[in-house]
Amino acid sequence: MSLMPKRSDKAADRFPALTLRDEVNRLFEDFFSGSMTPFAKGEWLPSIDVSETDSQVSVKVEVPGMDPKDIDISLMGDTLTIKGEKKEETREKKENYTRMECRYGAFQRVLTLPTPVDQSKVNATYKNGVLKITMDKKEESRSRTIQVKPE
Amino acid sequence: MTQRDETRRKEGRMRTPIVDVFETAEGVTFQFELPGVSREDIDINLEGDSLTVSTHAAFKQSEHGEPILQEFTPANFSREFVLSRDLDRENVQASWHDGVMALTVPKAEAAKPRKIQISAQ
Repeated sequence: MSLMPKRSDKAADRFPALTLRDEVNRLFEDFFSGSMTPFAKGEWLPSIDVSETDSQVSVKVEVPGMDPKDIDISLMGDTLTIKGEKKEETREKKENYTRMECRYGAFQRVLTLPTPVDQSKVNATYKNGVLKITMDKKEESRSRTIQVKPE
Repeated sequence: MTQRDETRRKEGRMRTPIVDVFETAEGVTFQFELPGVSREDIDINLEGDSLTVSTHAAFKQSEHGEPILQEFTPANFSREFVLSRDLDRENVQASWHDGVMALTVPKAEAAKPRKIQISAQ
């Protein structure tokens, strides 16, 4: 029996191009997602979406795999602060990882809302790993159609 | 890549999920982050050496009004991995909670490290 080293049997080593495509995609997505805003602090930054209807402002934050207790939301005037910590205890010992992309640790994002909101009418839910905060706009800032009366 | 993947790539509406992969003597576990997707919208496809996880959630753009800031594309996820030969594809286990799905593929019995005794002569 020859003593030559056995050629690696891992498919990922034989076909590196397959995982390369995925890696490049990930690089681009990371680059363009949420890490460019100045008002943020922490070890990682979850991506957010902000949208509005006539009566509400809605903010969605992607924070999968978290315990809602570890998320802290506060609203001061029209500044919304979302911070929290994604705990790393569930991770196995690091030397067993062949790929480590998931981000853990503390995060904080501060947003200035597009219009004033009613502080007493804020609702937050956590579903499928997405935190959704909906806020009712203050009465005076809701858009209202104005009739033009013919003279 | 499947036909459906090709179409979605062309439309620019496919996201690559973040994955952690770790390995023990028992098997390999893939941990996918699929935020915003319900467990029933996840497809796990095993074909030969290739494991593909993709989602088919319906995105209702209109319900949230006008977007002001949009950092994550409302698109479905897809990612493919190639499994090495020593894994037992018949016994994949999947679990999901809060947007994170863990897929564990055990090592085939023959591939597990086994101590060999030297019998006394």
